Amino acid sequence: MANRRSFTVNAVIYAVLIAIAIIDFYPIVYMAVNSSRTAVDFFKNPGGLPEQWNFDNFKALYFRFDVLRLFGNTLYSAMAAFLVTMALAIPASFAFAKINFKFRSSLYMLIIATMTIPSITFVIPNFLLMSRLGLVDHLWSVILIWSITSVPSNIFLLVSLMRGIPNEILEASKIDGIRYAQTMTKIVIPLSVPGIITLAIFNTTGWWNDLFTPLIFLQSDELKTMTVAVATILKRFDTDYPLLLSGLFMTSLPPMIIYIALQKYIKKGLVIGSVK
Amino acid sequence: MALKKGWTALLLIICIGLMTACSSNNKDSSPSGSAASNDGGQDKKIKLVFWNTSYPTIDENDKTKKKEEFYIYKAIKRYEEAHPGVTIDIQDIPDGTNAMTKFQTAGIANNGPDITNLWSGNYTLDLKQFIQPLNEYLDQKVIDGMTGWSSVTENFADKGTIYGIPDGSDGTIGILYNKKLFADAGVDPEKMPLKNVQDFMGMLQKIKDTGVTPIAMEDDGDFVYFLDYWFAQMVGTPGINDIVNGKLKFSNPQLLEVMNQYIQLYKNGFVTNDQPQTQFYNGKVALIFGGYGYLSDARNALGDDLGMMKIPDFSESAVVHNGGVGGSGAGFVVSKSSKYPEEAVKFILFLLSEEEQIARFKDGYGKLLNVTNVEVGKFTDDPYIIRQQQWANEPSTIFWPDNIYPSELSTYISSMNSLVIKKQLPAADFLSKLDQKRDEILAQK
Amino acid sequence: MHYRTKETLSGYLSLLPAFLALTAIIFYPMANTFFHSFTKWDGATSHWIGLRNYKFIFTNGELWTLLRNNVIFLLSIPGILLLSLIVSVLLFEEVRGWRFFRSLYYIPTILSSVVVGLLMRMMFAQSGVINQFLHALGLSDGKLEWLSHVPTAFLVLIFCFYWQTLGQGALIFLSGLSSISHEIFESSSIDGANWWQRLFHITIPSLIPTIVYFTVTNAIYCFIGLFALVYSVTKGGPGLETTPIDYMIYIKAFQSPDQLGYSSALSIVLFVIVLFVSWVQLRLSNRFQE
Repeated sequence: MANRRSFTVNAVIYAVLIAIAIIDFYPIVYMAVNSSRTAVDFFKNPGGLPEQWNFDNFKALYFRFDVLRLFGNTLYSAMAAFLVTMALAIPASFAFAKINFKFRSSLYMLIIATMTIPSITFVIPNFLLMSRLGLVDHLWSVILIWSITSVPSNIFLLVSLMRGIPNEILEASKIDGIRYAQTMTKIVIPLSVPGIITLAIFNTTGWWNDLFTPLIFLQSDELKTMTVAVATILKRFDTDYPLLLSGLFMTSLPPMIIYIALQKYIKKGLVIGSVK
Repeated sequence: MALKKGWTALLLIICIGLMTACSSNNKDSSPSGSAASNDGGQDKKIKLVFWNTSYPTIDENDKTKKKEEFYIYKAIKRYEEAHPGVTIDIQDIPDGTNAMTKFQTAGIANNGPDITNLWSGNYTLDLKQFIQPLNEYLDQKVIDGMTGWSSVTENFADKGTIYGIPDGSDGTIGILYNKKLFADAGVDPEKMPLKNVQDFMGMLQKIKDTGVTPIAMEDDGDFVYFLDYWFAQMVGTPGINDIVNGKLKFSNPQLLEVMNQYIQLYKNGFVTNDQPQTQFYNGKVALIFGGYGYLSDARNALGDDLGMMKIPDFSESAVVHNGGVGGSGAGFVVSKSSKYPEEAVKFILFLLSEEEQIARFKDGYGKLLNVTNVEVGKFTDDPYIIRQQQWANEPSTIFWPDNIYPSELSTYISSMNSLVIKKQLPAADFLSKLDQKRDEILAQK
Repeated sequence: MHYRTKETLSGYLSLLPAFLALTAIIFYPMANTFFHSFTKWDGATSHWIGLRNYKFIFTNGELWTLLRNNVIFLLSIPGILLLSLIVSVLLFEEVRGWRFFRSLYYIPTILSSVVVGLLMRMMFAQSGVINQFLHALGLSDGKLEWLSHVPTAFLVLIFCFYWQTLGQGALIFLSGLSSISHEIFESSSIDGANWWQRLFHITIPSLIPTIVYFTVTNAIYCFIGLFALVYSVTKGGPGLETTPIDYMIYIKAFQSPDQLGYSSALSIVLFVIVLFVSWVQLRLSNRFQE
């Protein structure tokens, strides 16, 4: 196909693609460059380059926060939440995709419909629930909320994925009398691994970026997640734009690194839900 | 059958996993320190959770400063050394409305901090179901030694249930200006005092004629610093109370006139709403509204070019003359869920003791002292700081009206005011919207 | 018969943990919220006040502003749909380096809405870089107050929304395109159909399922996902002019004392609206697909 396009068509395509690339990427460059400036330098010329590269803002964040601990908290919570989500969603998705029973499609619709409930609706009752369980200000409150509220969307994606598992393999396992647990661990889960990795990326970046849940449920400094810690402290210094930008940049780095490292799985995940 | 068995096993594993995860966390000490639940213990250990909303823990001018070097960490260390068995667990949380959000949710869960700092007045009193009344823990001597108690007392009375301990004083909000830019425009309010809004407008016009934007204000039009003062001085503090109780309407000719003149500032192009302090410190605008809180930063930025004056009276017919808003805008509170209210009060009184207030003042903390009979002149030679302390004690200083309005109304006024100043809501409609909101809040009481 | 019961049973048992968890964290709280929408509730104690919360919601005039704001976001969806389509069609031409562009376009999608919001807030400040740029180009006086006026504040918010969604949209449509067989394109270009004809007669019709998916998910997002973005860009202002319903629920629940009942009632109203919108969309798309 490529050889049939004229030079002008190619030029137009490139022009549009490059223009969009600039709009897409400039703000990120802006964030990175300006976090290395002083407030005065930034004020004089917000669009320019630093007069002098200055990394004091990152130093301030490093001295102020226990960065490793914040990363650790976020990582621990996200991993635990992902395990819980999968433990709940995989059997359910398998049932929706491959097992025949009464009310299957209405139950499925019920689960899918919960995706349309604004999460803000159940923050207060859940807060009361967690406080009754004594979990407020424990990472487990966040883990449970994250994992369970993500169950419907994970079921949605896993079901479309598992529908693709050939029935013959499953039939064979039934005839062989392989137990449910084995069917799961030997067939269903291994075949879903690429999809599960994709979901892991989606879920964890989403949770990493979540401000609201950890902001409400966690209180102690040593339990905060990265996003909350940065948002909390920097709100009080929102006149120092470069300092704020360096905090934003620092919280954005991990998702960007994950994305660059694992981007092929992300593409796969987006496709699951959208193409029938 | 085999299928089902395997299934049950899986379910059990999940459930057990969840249970142990939950319960093992359950056993951890609760945030308010359950270690000393048996009071019989000889060497009892007390942990007080302190949500810090006001003490700085990042220094914008010295970004390599470590946590432990900040005043509040040093003060806590002093306290812990003097009180073995007590540990203070300090946790940073955002200030202002976010602090109240957080305090409210924690209160609902009966999980509030032992100590925190909230804006005073109705910002605090609206949350009183989560706050420990403090009367029984406070001696009359302590009360007499500090000012600002009415800002944390039920109905703003001199006597009654006390819900907090006033934290320092904000001084009086006035105008901080750039003497050089004023001189360039040929204006000098010290020599030619401004008697009313017309004088003020005339001065601003002269500044604008030199090509400098005269005023920088916050996005909400500095409603709490500036507009509120003109409101309050026209109707007086009793008038503000009547507005709150529904006896007086926002829609009245005096306040409408204030609004019209205030909007005129914008119509004349006197105001920018972009990064007010940064603009002012960098010499881009001639004045900002502010009190003691901005004084040291402004002094560092402008040096001898810094000027300070009171906000001009709106008109000669004002009830209060030559004043400003200010007072103790924040106070320390103890949560109802605190297990050690007495210890918490002790720690608060330590932070607010004369020595500690002086220490934090010298450290550059953004509040003046509220200790009776202490002259700041002893610790500073900046005439403006001394003047701020004098202003704060003048009877013409009106207590923050936004702390007197129901907190929901204050939030609403700020957000609506940003529409007014950008000419998207006429003044009369603005005032009647405020009346409607006030009535709705009263109706829901 | 025995086999079928066993299968049914294992089906239900597979669902049990998920449903138990959802009951605890979603269904029960929904019921709880529904109950409290008829009460005055400060978080600790509540008492029944019947329909008063709903009466306030429908009579104080705010609901219509809030709804209008959600609808403005809703109406911006066709724009991003078109943009994503165009970008994916261009990428599908597979010019040299198209993989690089595809990767780059996705980066804004993975950033937190809070980060995006605060970043854009700075860039669109009056003395910010956007004004500086427009001024340098001679397009404006460089003094535009983007966030203080209603139309421009919405423009900024919608820009953020587009900025975060484009990468995702382009990627989704690109994979949709790759599932269309190349023969169809080849044969149509032999028939002499030009690029536009191919776009409207082959490409878009075969992307309909993908378009429906994209539209439905984003429409729901416009009702329930805007909180973080609005919170960090405009704080709902000026006034309430950019406040969507979910942000108002937050204000009422967490920034107004004693208003948890009111915010519960508003939550229920929002839930009903979202349900209705989803239903309408599914009906429309079904009809369209036929």
